[in-house]
Amino acid sequence: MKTSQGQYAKTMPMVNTGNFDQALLIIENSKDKFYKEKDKVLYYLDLGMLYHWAGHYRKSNELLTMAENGIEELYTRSISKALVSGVLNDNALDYSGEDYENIYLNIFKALNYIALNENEDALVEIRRIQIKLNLLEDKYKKITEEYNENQENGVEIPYVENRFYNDVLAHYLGVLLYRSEGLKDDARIDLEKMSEAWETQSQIYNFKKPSFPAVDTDKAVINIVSFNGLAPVKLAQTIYAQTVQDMILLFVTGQDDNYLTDLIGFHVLPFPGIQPNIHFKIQFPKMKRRNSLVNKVVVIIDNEEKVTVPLVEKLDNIAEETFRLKLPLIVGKTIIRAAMKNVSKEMGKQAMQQSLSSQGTAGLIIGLFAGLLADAAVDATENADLRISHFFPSEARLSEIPVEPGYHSIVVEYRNGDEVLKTVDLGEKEIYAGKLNLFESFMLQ
Amino acid sequence: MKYIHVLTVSMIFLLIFSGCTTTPQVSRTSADEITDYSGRWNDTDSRLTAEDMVSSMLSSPWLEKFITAENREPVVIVGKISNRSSEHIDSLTFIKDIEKELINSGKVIFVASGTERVELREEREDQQSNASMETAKALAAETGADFMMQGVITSQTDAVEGKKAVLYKVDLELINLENNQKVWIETKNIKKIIKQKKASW
Repeated sequence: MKTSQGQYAKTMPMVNTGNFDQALLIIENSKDKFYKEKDKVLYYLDLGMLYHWAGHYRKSNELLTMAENGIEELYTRSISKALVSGVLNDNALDYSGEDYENIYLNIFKALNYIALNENEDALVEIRRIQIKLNLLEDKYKKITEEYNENQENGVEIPYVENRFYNDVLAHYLGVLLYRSEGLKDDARIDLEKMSEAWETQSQIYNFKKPSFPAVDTDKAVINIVSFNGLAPVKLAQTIYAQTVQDMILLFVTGQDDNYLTDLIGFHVLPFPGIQPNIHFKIQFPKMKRRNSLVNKVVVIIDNEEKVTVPLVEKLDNIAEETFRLKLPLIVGKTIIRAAMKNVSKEMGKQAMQQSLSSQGTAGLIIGLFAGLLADAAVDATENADLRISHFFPSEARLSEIPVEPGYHSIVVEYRNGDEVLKTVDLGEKEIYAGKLNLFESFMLQ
Repeated sequence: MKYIHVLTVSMIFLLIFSGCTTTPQVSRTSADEITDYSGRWNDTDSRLTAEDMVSSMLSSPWLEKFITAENREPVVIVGKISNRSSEHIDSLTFIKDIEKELINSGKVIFVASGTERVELREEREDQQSNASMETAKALAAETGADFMMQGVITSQTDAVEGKKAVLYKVDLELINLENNQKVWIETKNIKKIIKQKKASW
């Protein structure tokens, strides 16, 4: 059982060129081929995000809601299901979503509602994020405890403390929405939490604190939310071990950005007395950033005023931080599972080779081939779960630009240093005083 | 020859089964029946809350005081009921349930809401040019409301391991439009324990 990545190799060039309708078609046609029923959350997340980028906000919300319902259903994997993955691998389990996906789907649902001018519903989504962050506090502690209690091999998987409980992008949107509804106290609370994030979560907010929006304003303000790059993916890192006389040979392979496997390391470990012909494979998922070309976003209002849109969130940091919480469980389970499978396999190989050795050279050759087949068969079952949505962005920026009420032209420039990579013309927009005038722009490269 | 038979039988099966589609099973039920599949706020919550709230409102002292002082029934309008919960709640359905309860009580006079009035005014203005003088309705003859009902729905969620408890809190108040006095306030709490449902594929 292996993670399907074929759909992404086809869709990424389309996403990079902004051909979202074609990318949607490929993903929709991949149902039941690359996405099985156990991958439904991933399917809905991928489609929901593509529909968002394509500007089909109602459809995006429908799919992201289906993803959210699926994640809710699979919130904690039961131990019986964890044991299935103990025999096969985590790909056998239903994909329950990365924690950062579970949080950011609400951000994008909120943005969809804002685009649809349904601000009250957008606030519902923002409030859900805090409920999910509260749940994340204890989630892995409970799962790890449950797993450890049900293990009979005495191996205890360590628990990693959660360090993410306050999301700045959600609070920023909260301030803008509450402010537009005249709920100043709620806006102020969100603003305070935004500020706290740089003090209490410096490993996530490890960049300059941006200027914050005003809690109370009757003036006309343009808010630009811009996204750039794409969030990390999971790539496989594999360790193959083969024993020879008094030595262990270690081969390490890794996937590149095109999902192709390369040899990235070879080590010889002297191990006097070790029995030859023992073979095993362990494969782990590794989160890999897809670095954005963009390092600056500028807004041009009425062909004149240029404002740099400050960075407010590195989704990459949050994806890695939340993945860190479950990594001990993934690594622990993988090692326990691989050890159990390989010990049984090696015992079987030895018993078979002993019984065949009495049949002379032919028996030895058959025994050798049977051993190689057993190695290949067990290796084939040991695959890391690399499932992750491929269409969340890497970074979010937000700015607040006071203007006179009325029509204004808005252009967003994506830059790398002084080089302009892309210009997005949002057109003439009517800006109202005391209302939410939030516009979204993106460059997913 | 054997292969031709197999192919023919396969095609017959294909023709038979391609015509078979799974249709959803539908059964009719009373609209009053209490249903709660997802645990989220639903039509039953809306209806039961509206009934309770209106009953409380009409049995509180403000109504008798008003009738005694003014010698007529009060004119009421339902204003905004904000959803500040963590669930998507169709407040329009809830407002309609409240309106229905108020009108059917016969104890208050009920006037159209702001958005409804816009359409009604347009129609009256149109009548001035297009309807006969006998049937055209006069402008500026609307009944002004004495009281406006406003409210907010909030929720608190406590969740752990596939179980969730949601407390919905509905706060409604009736405000005298002349002097901004609050003449009635009521809160209704609905607590639900939810076990996670199976997502569709």
